[in-house]
Amino acid sequence: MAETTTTTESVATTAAVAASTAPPRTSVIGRIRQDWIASFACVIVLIYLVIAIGAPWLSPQSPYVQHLQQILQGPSGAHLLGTDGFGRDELSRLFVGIRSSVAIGAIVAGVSTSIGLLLALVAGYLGGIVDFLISRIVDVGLAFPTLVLSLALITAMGVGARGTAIALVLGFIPFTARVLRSAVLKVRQEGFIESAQVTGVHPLRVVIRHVLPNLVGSITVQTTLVFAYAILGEAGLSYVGLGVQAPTPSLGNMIADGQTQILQVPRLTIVPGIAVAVLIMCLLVIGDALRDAADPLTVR
Amino acid sequence: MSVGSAEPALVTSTEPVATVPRSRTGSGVVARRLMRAATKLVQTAAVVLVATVVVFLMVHVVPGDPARAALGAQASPDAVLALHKQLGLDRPLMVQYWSWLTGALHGDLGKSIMLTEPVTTLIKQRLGVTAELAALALLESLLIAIPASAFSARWRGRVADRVTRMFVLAGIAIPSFWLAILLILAFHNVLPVYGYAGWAAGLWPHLSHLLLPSLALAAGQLALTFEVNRVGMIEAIQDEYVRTARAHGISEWRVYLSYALRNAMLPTATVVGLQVGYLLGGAMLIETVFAIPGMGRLLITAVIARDYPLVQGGVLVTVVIFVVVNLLVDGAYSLIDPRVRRGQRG
Repeated sequence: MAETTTTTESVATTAAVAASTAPPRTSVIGRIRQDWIASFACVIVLIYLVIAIGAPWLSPQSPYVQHLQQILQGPSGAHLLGTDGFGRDELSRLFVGIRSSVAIGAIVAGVSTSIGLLLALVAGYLGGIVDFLISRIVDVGLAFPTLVLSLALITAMGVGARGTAIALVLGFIPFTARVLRSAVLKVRQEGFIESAQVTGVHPLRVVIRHVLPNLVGSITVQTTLVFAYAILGEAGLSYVGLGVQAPTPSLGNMIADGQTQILQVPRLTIVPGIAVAVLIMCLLVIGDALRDAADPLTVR
Repeated sequence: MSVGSAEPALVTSTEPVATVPRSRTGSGVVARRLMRAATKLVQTAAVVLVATVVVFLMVHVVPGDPARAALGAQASPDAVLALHKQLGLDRPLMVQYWSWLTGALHGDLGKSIMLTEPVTTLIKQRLGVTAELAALALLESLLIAIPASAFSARWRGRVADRVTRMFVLAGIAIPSFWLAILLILAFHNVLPVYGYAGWAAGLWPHLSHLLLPSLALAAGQLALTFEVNRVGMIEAIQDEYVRTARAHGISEWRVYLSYALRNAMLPTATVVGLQVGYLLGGAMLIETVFAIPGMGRLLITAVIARDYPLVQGGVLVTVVIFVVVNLLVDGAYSLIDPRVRRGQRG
């Protein structure tokens, strides 16, 4: 096959070129630090995390106390982002809103990647009938569009933050399991896995000492992306009134609140929307950079 | 799909469908193709069957009485008991599932609790609206994503490519429902921003009501198509037949559009099938923003009211549509790609 030889040749040359031009092998973090856009994105995400964790202390005022004499005020010294339709301080609501959204995103990313990883390890490493069964279950999961599956689950569990988080976790598991399973299969083919198996190392030890460390790249990329999509999912569900419930602010329900006064005070809708968009954009940039750093040969 | 079919002579993989040699049909290729199609059909049917179990059980595994949840805490025990009976919840689980499944096969998905109308009737009224919104958004996303990805691939790594990719990334990062609100803010003087007008209202009123919603929906969807098509084109451009075409002195743009794009379309077609799922999910949010009476809004109201029969029916219909569309895309894929058609690929 002439075709295959040329492809391997071209891959080999690309690899050679990459090796000769790339700086001496650095860690993933080292490569991210060389990419200034990704570094900038990391700083922004860090700021969001600080706000999310420190919201109760950082908020200048209570996000819940209503001042009905001061509704829909513009930005001022007392209210840096103005007040909403109930006279509540918008900046404080934004901080607490970021806290709700980031918390749900982080929980969903952590839990769904962990469960997906467990399924992927069991399916990919054991193979055979176990792999077949898990893969078919994943197929069924993938047959449900994530948001639609979330709807059905929220019906069962009732609206609210808890139901939304559980629904999104279940919605994302098929995706993480599918992606991580193929990563496990790739690692499994490596020579060192076989050597470990042949020398009689306990399977559990092979998985923990040899397979898992090689999955760190895929796991980080996957967690970052699920984090981003979970925040988008939470925002969407809270926007339509199924997620985080009033009076607790989340970026999604703040957009919905603002929409009622969109023509008079567009600020109330625009600010939380920008907060979501900037966070997601940074997470996607970081996810892309991590993927490139872990696998420099992919076509970009 | 056939872009630049005027120049097929140079490229073996773009042979017109009509020239598939008859003799091959005798050598078991047809049998193999039928086998593949049958396997795929059985797999899909199995997935749908398991999905029906999931949709059905989702309501029943959770503690508490669905009838109580639907009617709320204030409802009298008698009313709850009556609904309990009406929903058939007093029967064994297997019997309930079986009657729901056989009913569904006959087009009977039960009766909505909140709207007291047959679920099938309600879905029939709304499905067309959502389908049209999704189709329009899909069309728009392709019209933007394909040329943009060709442009980006042509100037790969340059400023033009980077800027285009940034815009596309922003398309995913910006929540579609928020973009929709911004569109309302920007165009509320020019275009209708709320509600829906049927075909009866005339072509322009009809389309103008769907223009902003479909654009908001398309913005988030086009990123995946763009990314897959761009990478596909960059990979195709490094292939031998493209070198041959260049050596024949064909202009660079022509090389990109007739050769690279044509081959990149194959993986892109698969992605478009997956998009349908996202479109159906995204439409729910967009319909809420613009107050469009589609499936999504129906489902969301049903979820808030905990109207189980309606949610079950709506989710089931959505899943079946999603699965069937992907089956069709898979079939179309083998029709477009002669290598798959002749069984030369997996």
